[in-house]
Amino acid sequence: MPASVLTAQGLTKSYPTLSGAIPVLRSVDIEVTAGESVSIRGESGSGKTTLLYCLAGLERPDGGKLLWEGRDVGKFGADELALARGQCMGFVFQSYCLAPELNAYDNVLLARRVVGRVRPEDCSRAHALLEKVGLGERQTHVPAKLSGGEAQRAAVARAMLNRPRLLLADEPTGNLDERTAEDVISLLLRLCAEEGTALVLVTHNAAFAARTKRAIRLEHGALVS
Amino acid sequence: MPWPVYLALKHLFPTGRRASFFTVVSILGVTLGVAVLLVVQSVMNGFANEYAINLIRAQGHIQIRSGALIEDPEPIVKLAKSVPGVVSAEPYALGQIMLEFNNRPAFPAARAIAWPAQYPRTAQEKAMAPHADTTFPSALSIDVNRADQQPLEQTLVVGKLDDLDDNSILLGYGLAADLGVHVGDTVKVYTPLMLNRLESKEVLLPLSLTVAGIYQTGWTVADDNTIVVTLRKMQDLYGLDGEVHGVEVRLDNNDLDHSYDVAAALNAKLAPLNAERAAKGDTAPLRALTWLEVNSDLMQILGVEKAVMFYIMIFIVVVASFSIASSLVTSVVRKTREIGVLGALGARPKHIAAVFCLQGFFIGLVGVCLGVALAFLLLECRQPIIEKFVDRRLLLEFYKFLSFPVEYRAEDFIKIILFTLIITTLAGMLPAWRAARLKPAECLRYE
Repeated sequence: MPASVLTAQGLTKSYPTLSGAIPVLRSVDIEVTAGESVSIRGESGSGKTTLLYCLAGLERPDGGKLLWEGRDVGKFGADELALARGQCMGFVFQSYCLAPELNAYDNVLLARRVVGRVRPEDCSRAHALLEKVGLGERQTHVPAKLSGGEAQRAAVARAMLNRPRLLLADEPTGNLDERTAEDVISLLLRLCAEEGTALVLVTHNAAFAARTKRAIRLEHGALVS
Repeated sequence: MPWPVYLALKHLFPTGRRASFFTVVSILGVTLGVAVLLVVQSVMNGFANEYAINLIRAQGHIQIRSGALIEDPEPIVKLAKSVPGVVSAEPYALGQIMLEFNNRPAFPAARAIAWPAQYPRTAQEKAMAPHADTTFPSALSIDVNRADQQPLEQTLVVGKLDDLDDNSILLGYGLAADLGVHVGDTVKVYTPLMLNRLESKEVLLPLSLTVAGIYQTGWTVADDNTIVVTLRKMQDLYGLDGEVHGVEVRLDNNDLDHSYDVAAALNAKLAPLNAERAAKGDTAPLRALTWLEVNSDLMQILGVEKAVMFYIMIFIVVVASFSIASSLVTSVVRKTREIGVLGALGARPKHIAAVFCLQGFFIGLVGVCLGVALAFLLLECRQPIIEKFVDRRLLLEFYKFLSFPVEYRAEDFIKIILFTLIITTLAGMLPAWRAARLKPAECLRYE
C-alpha cells in the first residue's frame, strides 16, 4: 500500500459575511498517496480553490484534520508550516505567477532559495528541469519575453525543483490555448510520474481530469464522487 | 546571500533591465539630500573655523586674566613663555575710545590682535589686494620695545612702525577711510577716563595724536574698528598706572585640544603665583582661558546656527524617505500576487517583510554613497561654481575672501550617513509591515 502523502478528514471552511457565514467546504475527506494523480472538478464557486489552499496549508480550515505524511498540520506553527510547505509541496497557478524581475532560471531557483541555501546540485537540477520542459534556450529570458505556455512550463519546473512529495496545480491551463494546454498537462503528468510526485489537479477540463488516476467532483463544497 | 536580500536587489535592479524609474528617482532624492546636508555642514564648519582663526589672530590662543587689572605682568609673561608650545606672550590693555577728526567721530572697539604669518594667501589673492596680508598688527596697545612681538609693519600700507611713539597712533584702513584721515593728520582721542575725572571736578582735555601709519589686515573687524597705540599711551588713556588687562599668549598651532592642554599647564603654573598674590591681599586669581572659553557665547551661536541648518536641511532626506515609503507601499500592492506565491513557496512573513524593508536600506545606501561623492565634487569644485555667478573682485572687496572656506569633519559625515540609512530603512518598514500581514491565499486570489 503506497504511503499517504496527504490525508484530509472532515475539512470544513466557511467565510464570514455580514449576513452570516457562507459554508465553502462541507466535511471533505480526501487522501492522496505517493505518486497518485487526483483531479478535482466542479463549477465555479464550488470550493475547488479553497479546498486546494486548505490542503496546502495556505488557509486554515475551520474544522477537520489535515495530515501531511502522517503529521498533523493543525499543530504546526506558522514558520514550521511555511517551511514544510516549501520543502514538500510544489505549486502551479493559473496565472503562472513568475517574478517579473527574474529570468526563467532564477525563477526556478527561487523555490530553493526561499527554503534554504542554494547548492550546486540545485543549480544543475534547475538547468536540467528547464531543459526537460523545453526552455533550455530561454533560461535567461525574463517572463515578459516568454509566451504563456513557456511561462507556465517555467512555473512547472519551479514547482518540481525541490522534489516535492505533492504538487498542487490550480487550473494550470486556464489561460492557455487548447494545444498549449495539452502540452502543459502532458508535461505535468509526465514529470510527476517520473519523479514519483503526487499530483492534485484542479481543472474545469473533463478531458484533462480523465487523464489523472482518480477524479473527484466538488459540488457546493461537498465531494460527490 | 539570504533570499530577501537577493530579491530586494532584484526588485531594485531587475534582470535584463536598467534600474527602474522608482529606484532612480528614490536614489536621486536621497543623493541630493545627503549632498546638500554635507555641503552646508562643511561650509558652516569652514566659516566657523575661519572665524575661530580670526579670533585667534586677534586675541591669541590663550588669555591670562584676573577679575581686575594686573599690576606687574612680567612674571606672568616669563611663566607663560616657560610652558612648551608657547610662541609668544605679551601684556595687553584694551579700551573703547572715541576718535574725532574734522568734527567726525568714530568709536573704534579696542581689541588685541596678533598672530604669526601661518596662512599666506595665494598669489592670486595677493595680486588682487597687495596690501591685505595675512599677518596682523600686534596687540592693540603694544610695547614697541618688545623684541618678541609679531611684526606690525607688514600690514602697514602707509607710514612706518618706527614712527609710532607715545604721541602717535596707527589706524585701520577702513577707519581711516571713514574719517578721511591721512598719515600726518592729528586726531583727537577721548576716553571714559575723562568722564571719571569729571566726577571729581577734574577736566581732562582730549589727547591729540598724530597718525603715524595706516594698516590693512584684510579682516574687517580689525581694519574698521581698531586702532593701535603704544602700551604706555593706552595705560595713560585709561589711567592704568602701569597695569594691564591681561597677557595674550600665542601657541605653535591652532589645534583646540592643544590650546586646552597649554591652558591647563599654565593654570597649574599660575597656582603658586596666585597663592602669592592672595597672601598679598590680591583676591582676583589669574586664570588662563582658551580663545574658545573667552568667546564661548559667540562660538555657541555659531554652533546653534549649524545645528539649526542641519535640522532644516534634514527634511530633504525625510521628504525623500516619504517618497520611498509611498513607492514601496505601491509596490506591495502591485506585487500582492507575487507575495502570495512567495508564501506558497514557503517564505515566512518576516522574510517577505524584509524584502521591502531592505529595499529602503539599499536605496539609502546607494544614495548615501552618491551623495557623499556629489558633496565632495561640489565642494572641491566650488571655486569655478562660485566664480560663474559672482565677480571675484566683489568677493574679495566685500567678503575679504575669494572662496568659501570649507572644513570636513568626520562626525558630520557619520551623523548624516547614519541618519539617512536609518530613515530610509524605516521608510521601508511600513510597506514591509503591510506585506507581512498579507495572507498568501488572499494574495493569490488578488486580481
